[in-house]
Amino acid sequence: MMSLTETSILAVAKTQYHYKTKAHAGLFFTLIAVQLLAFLLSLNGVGGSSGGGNQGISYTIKYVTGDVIIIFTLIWAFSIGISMANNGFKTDFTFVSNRLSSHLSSLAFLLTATVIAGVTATLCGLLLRVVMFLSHGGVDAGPAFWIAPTALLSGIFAATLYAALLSIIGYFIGMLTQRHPAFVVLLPGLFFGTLFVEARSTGQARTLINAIEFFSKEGSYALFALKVVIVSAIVFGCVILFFSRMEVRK
Amino acid sequence: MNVVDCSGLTKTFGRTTAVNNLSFTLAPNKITGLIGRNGAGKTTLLKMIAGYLLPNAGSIQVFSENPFNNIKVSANMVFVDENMVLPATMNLGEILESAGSFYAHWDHKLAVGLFTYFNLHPGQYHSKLSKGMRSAFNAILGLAARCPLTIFDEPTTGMDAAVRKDFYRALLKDFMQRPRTVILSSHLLNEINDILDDLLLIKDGEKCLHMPIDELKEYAVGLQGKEETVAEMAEKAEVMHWKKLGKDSVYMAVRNQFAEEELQKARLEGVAISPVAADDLCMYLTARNKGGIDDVFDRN
Repeated sequence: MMSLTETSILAVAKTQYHYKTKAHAGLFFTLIAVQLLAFLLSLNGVGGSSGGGNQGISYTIKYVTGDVIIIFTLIWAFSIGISMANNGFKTDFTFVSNRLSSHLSSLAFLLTATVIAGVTATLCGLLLRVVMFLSHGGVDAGPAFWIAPTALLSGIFAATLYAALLSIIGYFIGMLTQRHPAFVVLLPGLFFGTLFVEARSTGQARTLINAIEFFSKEGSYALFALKVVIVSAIVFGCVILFFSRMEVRK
Repeated sequence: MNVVDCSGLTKTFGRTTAVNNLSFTLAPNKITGLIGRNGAGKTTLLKMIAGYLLPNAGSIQVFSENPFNNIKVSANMVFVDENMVLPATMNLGEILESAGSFYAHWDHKLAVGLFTYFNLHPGQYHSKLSKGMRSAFNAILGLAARCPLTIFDEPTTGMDAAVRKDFYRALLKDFMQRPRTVILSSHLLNEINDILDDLLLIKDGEKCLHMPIDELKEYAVGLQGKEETVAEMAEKAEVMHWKKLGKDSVYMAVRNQFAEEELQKARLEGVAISPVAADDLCMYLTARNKGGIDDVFDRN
């Protein structure tokens, strides 16, 4: 008989990772499109702009920030998590795969994608500043215009971590909906339901705000990173645990 | 060592039992035909062997291991059917390259050779192919992967007669160069009859027959003659099929357990004895009613 091939999960996951980057190259075009859109929306300033006039001089204050770019990028990260989960098993099991190798290669792909997204989102914010600077005559930019490389790096760092966290949550949700289609209705219902009920009773969506502040209020970069890594690891661990008996192509 | 070893295998979906208490073993380096009617449970069985589905009861061993979630079984097995999921963003050339990176014994020369022969172009996309072309491409993946266990689930769906013939010939040629265990499911036995070593016939999820194809040729015998003579013989044998031919003449297919003298005697009484073709036999064995479709029309 033909000799049996011995292989390891990591070796297979590596091959799958290469395969996935090729198969999902199109997702990066959507990233560019999403960031471009956010960039264009940001040009006109975000939030309420205020203005006034005094002694014949009128002025308008516009807040221009890269926040929209980051938010759009995070939504993209969430959605690629879902799409990896939707395609994952079905595509992987056409060739060599088991459940763990499929998850690991998806994770590796998501991390690669979110690093790229984190870098491009931050640089896009930078571009916004430059465009603002040039379009306003380049004068009186003030000391706040200059961004120190460390600040830039920490921006990339934070954006990447947020994107990674959201993509892994997206992956988990995507797997749930693969498990049972009812989750497609159930999960958004649950999410918006609690949001709505809380907002009505207390005037604030406390749970969501608490969840966000758990990360955003963290002053130390190391602790912030630790929090993201631990939460991501828990979610990813749940993915491996919950779906290890899931059937393929039922 | 057996390549596949099933015992008491059962799989249900809700209330339907797709595979019911199935036990069999497949020896290495043989081409086994898995034959059954639509809905007999062929695909479910193959998906359990491939490790896609979990059985509800019974055990299944592939290369002496449980195939479910098993990386070793997956690395040594390829499952080809019309629903293979391939990325819509990659063209056929890229898919072939990627497929090659997964399998240790991948034969790229063969893949490219077949690819060109079947008139496929590297720039085409899988989702844009016609049904027959897609089946041909999937079959190429299955052949070139050269896995110790190669499973084809109705591989010829949509292929025209010429392509089907070529595919079976390619399968046989490649098999002779590199023997491996092949499971080929189909409901058309006459097409694959010539290349099979063994036949596994299932009906309603249960095993009906599992034997070498050569023995199958002697399994049954067809008797045609006067009704009373044939009916008399029918009492002593297991009747699989019974058909009225004319006013007084009938044809029946029975399990061949007659002694040579008995057949000789029958011949003298004017009964014509003929072999039963393998595909007819399978049809008789899996038929739901003995009389077949004629019964529906002969009711009044």
